Amino acid sequence: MSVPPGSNPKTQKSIKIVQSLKPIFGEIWRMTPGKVAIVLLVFLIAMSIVAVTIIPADFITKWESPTYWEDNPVVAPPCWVSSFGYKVPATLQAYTSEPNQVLFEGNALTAEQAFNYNLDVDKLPQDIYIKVNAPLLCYKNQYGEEVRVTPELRVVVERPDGIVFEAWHVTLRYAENITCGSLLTYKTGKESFNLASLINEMLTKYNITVPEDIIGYNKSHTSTVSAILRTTIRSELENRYLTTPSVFVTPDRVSVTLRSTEQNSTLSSFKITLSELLAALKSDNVDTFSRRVVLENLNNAVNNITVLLSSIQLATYSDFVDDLTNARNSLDQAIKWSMDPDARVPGDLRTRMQDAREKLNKYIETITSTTELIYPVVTFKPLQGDYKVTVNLVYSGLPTKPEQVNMRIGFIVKGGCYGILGTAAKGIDIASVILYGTPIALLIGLVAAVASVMIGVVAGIVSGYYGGLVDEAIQRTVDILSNIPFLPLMIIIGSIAQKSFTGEARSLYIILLYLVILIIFSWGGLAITVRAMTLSIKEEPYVEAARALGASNTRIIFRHIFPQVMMYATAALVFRVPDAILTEAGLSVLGLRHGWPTWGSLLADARAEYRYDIWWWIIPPGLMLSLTSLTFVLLGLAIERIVEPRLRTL
Amino acid sequence: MPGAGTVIARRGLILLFSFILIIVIISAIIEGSGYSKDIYDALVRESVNAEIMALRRGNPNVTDSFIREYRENLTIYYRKMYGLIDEQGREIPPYVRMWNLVKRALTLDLGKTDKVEVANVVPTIAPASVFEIIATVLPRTIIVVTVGELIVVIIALLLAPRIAYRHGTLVDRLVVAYAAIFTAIPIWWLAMIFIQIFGYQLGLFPTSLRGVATVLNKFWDNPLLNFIEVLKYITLPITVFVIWSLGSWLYGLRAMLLRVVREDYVTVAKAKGLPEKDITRKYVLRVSLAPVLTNVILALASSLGGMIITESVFDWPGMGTLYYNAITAADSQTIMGLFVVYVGVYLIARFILEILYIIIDPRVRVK
Amino acid sequence: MSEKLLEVRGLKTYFYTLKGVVKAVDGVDFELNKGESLGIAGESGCGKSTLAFSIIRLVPAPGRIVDGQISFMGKNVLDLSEEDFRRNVRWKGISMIFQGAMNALNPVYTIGDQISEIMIIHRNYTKKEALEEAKKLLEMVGIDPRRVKSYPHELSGGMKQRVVIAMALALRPPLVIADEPTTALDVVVQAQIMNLLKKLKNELGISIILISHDLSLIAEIADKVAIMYGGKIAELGLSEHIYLNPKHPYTQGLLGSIPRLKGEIRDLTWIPGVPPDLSNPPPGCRFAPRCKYASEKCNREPPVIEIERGHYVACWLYA
Ligand SMILES: Nc1ncnc2c1ncn2[C@@H]1O[C@H](COP(=O)(O)OP(=O)(O)OP(=O)(O)O)[C@@H](O)[C@H]1O
Ligand code: SF4
Ligand SMILES: [Mg+2]
Repeated sequence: MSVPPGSNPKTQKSIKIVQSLKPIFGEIWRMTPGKVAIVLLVFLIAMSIVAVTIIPADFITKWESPTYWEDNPVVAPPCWVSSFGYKVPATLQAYTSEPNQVLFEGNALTAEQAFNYNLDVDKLPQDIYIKVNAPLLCYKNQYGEEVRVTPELRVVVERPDGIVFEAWHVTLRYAENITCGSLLTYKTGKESFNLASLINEMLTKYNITVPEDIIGYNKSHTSTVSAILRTTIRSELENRYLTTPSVFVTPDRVSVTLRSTEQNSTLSSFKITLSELLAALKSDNVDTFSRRVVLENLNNAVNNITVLLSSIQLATYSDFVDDLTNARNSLDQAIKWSMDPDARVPGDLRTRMQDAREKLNKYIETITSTTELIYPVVTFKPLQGDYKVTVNLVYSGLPTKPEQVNMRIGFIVKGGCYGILGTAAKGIDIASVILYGTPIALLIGLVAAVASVMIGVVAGIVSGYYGGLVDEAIQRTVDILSNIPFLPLMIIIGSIAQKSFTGEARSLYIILLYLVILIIFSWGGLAITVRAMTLSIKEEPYVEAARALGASNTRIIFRHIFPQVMMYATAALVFRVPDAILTEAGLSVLGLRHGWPTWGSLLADARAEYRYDIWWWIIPPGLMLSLTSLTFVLLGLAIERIVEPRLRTL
Repeated sequence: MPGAGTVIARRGLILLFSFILIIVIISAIIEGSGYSKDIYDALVRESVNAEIMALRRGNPNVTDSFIREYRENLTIYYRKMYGLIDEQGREIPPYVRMWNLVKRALTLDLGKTDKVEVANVVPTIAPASVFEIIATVLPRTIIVVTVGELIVVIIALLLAPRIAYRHGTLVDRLVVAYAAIFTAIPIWWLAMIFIQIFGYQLGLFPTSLRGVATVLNKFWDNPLLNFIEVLKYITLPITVFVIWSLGSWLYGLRAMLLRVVREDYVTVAKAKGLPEKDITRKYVLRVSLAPVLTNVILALASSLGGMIITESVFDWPGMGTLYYNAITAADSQTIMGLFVVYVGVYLIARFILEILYIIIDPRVRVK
Repeated sequence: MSEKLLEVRGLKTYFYTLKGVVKAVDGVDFELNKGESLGIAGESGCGKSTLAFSIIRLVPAPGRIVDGQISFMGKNVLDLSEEDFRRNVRWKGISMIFQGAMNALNPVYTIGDQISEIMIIHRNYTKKEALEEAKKLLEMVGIDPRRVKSYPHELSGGMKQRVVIAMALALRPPLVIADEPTTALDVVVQAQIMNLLKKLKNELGISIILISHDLSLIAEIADKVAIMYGGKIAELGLSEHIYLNPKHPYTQGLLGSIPRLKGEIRDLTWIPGVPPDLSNPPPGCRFAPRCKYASEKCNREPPVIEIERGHYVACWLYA
């Protein structure tokens, strides 16, 4: 621009316009609604400016992908709720590129970083993990071959109760096509979590065992029983505590009981089956040696079970297992001898004996490996206090100390709260979407309003000024449009757009289409009013005088009609801004998504997942929508009062 | 009354013409955009594949050539069924399908739908008559939206004159503020907030209102008990509706009445010493009857269409939900049926208004 | 000595707007005898209509009568209850022809209905009797009585104004206030209406308060003239006092600015400056900023001087 700004006629004109706006601004400011509107507008514009300056380049395209929000807790309230007495565990997202300690010792490069986390509430964080980025190191060995060294990751957790355990211990892997020096990325997960080690530590620390009086006289069962206990704890921690949050739990109540009476019916049915077999074998009066052995053993088996049944209340685990094992062994013997042709055991009885044996064996297996008989109940509770997590990255077998190793270690505890407005599903940070949604909302609203008002004003003036066929055509069009139900049509077209648009600019096209439809449907009312105004202005004596003096149509329109219509059109414009914003939001809520981070799309997620119970998810976006609309409604009211003084005094 | 009959007849013709034109436009959008064709093509593919899978499972030894032939025949069969090709197997062009749609709509033949999503709103088994579906669903919208609208209109008509007389007072300002706030708030968001507070926090009402369908479908088994049951469902949406739309109604009526209250003839009437109630009746209400009636009748007519977004938030199985399900299932038959109802009712309401204007307003009478 | 009909003392009517208190009528005193006519003149916005509205107690919101008294036929009407006032004074005692009478008729009722409802309410006439009376009234103001069935939009502007006058005279009230009864009418109709008013005044012997910013109109009908400026009466006297011997600098200016059709064309002494902002009037004499005689004293409220019998001026020049 070579023309200095002051001498540019356009700039001068715009300065004039700004100056002529000044008294109007003052007038608006003098009214309460106007004042509120201006304050809100300044706030919205400030938010938009901030948003446009700081928005990350990939936000618009990536904001809906869960990996973008990986480190956030999901559906977590804002952190300030804790100052209102709703206590939640803190969220920690600590990243460092300079570990506390980097050592080269005995051919190994060790980087160590310690993190601290304090759990001060009686609730558990959603997740805990370590994320590392470390390079693949290479060196040439004495044969000139390239040797690749990947780091080993060790994460040791020290808990407030004194338990220290190695939570993760993995060697980072790399794909073959990766070049030396490129960064390897690793995120610890529950698959590699060393739950067994934690359980062991807890068992020892809290001395959790199965009481001896439950095991009974046979101490050799202790290990089986402990295994059952361990399995129970494991499945509890995996299922109820989702594995990794187990870092933060401590046993609360531990009890181990013997479900003896529950076994009554199973044992009785064994006894009946075996007794029936015994009776059947006795009834045919065969009396060979083999048959006697069969009978004897069967009898033993029945006796074993009978004895167990008779004293079932007092029976220990050993009693159960040993008696049943004896019974099974006897049954084994009986079956073996029944194979002897001398025993003359009919085939069907043999099968029945084998069936009974199978069942008995299954049952023994069940009570020795599941919680069918031994019934441990272990509940956990959050363990409050300071946690220290030490992360070690070790490259071993390096001949020399490498020059520089760029690594990044992240420690993430997904607590129970996040940021200033909390998170939605997928961990989406509501505050970001609220912020970045502001300029989008204003843009959508303004574009639609300006376009529809421009069309309305032009159509109205043309219709009123020139009359005739054009006038008739415009009026009929407006009439037809006003009879078409807008929202249903918009929804049809929206869902067509969902299916037809693809590719990079899809979101933009969908939104543009929404705007176009909205504009088509919204200029009509204004056109009719402007037409009426034009008609009456046209009749004014001074306009007729101007015409008589030979003023051209364009001159009359721009000198006399346009300025008078403009003020009214401004009020109409301002009133229209919320329409587009609310329509976009409404369509999103219905599920006609476009992909931009708008307030409506946050609400759309809440509706899709039916989470109206999550206040921090539905209140902020709705409030922003309402405040933005309110801004323009109030501004419109204020301008309307200037335009139509009859409505004044408020 | 010169030519009142002609005026009415002319307006009637214009409205009828609008109706036809709108139906044509909507049909063009549904058929011309290829919207329903894409979906039908997908449906044909799906149905054919499903049958071939079933055939393979039942009979593992079929030859490939048999399957090829079978697939061809099935495809033709289904494409015929969905009206994509004619008896001779020729592709039916979009404008013909559009014309068929228009013809059925204009003869008020709403046809049948075979879409499960649409039938589920009732719920009934597809295929079902679109007319019967609408007849079942419409009352559900009436008991919430139309009843809500009526309540609002009555409250607003009772309060608005009092507010208009108190122009500029605190009450008046509060009403304007109330109206501004609730025009700014989207009703479906208000619905979400109400569900959160009264459904989740206080547990006073169900959080999803889909269940009302069952109660209403067997309503006449035990009207009294079911009525109470229905109340439990409709209270929340009606409350939301009334709170939300009362503001704009009060503001709108107030503006209409204010325009009249400030007319010179009202001041003259006061100076004439007429009692206040005569003034209100003869000088304010009677004069603003035409615009008020316009608003009331058009609002009631539109209310029959339901509230698509709000119904979806409440999970209310009414006209809005029916429409939305029809859209997602690309059920052009039901979409068309609903448009016939929306536009038809609206235009009939406008026609009634034209007649009423002639009765109400002496200024229209002569023209 | 003739009977006193209306007496206004220290009347103050203020509008309480957001921008401040507009003192539209700020201490007005005058009296009117039976059969006498008063003309009130003044620039636009000086409070003439507000004064008229105050007398019939119809000051529009946010306005209020804050002080003073208005005695009509010996009774202070400000003390009456709203209902009492409506029944006994409105239209029966004081009727009014409003400024901008084009809009004074309800568009959805016939003019017959609108005239006859007055008799039905105040005189308990039957509908039929009232309609007969309405026809007579229409005839009196020169409109074809068969027009009772017409709606306002079927009448011309001049006819509407006549209907409004007929309405004002329906109960033959002792006092009719006519607020700019002829603005927005063309000159011929204006003259007809003024003649009608004059004729009715003489025939029926009613008092008329004629409000206008046009002193030549007032001259045709008024026995007394009050000149208002900035919510106060600047000068009050018999017509001859005001027209032949104006004392107040403002009156002198006003009379100077009447364009005369007859006689020699005097140079129009246009009063420079703008009328005062009544929400923030100048202290002392409100005319001071525009007065060529203004002096130090004029910063204080000027006293009201009776210059000759019945001729009052509020000006320091005569103190
Ligand atoms: N409703 C109102 N609200 C606020 N101020 C008002 C109102 N009505 C009149 N005023 C103010 O009171 C003052 C007197 O008004 P009024 O209508 O009595 O003037 P007027 O002498 O009749 O003028 P005109 O010759 O134009 O009719 C004016 O300054 C006006 O601004
Ligand atoms: S009092 Fe003073 S300012 Fe007022 S009119 Fe008289 S001379 Fe002029
Ligand atoms: Mg006036």
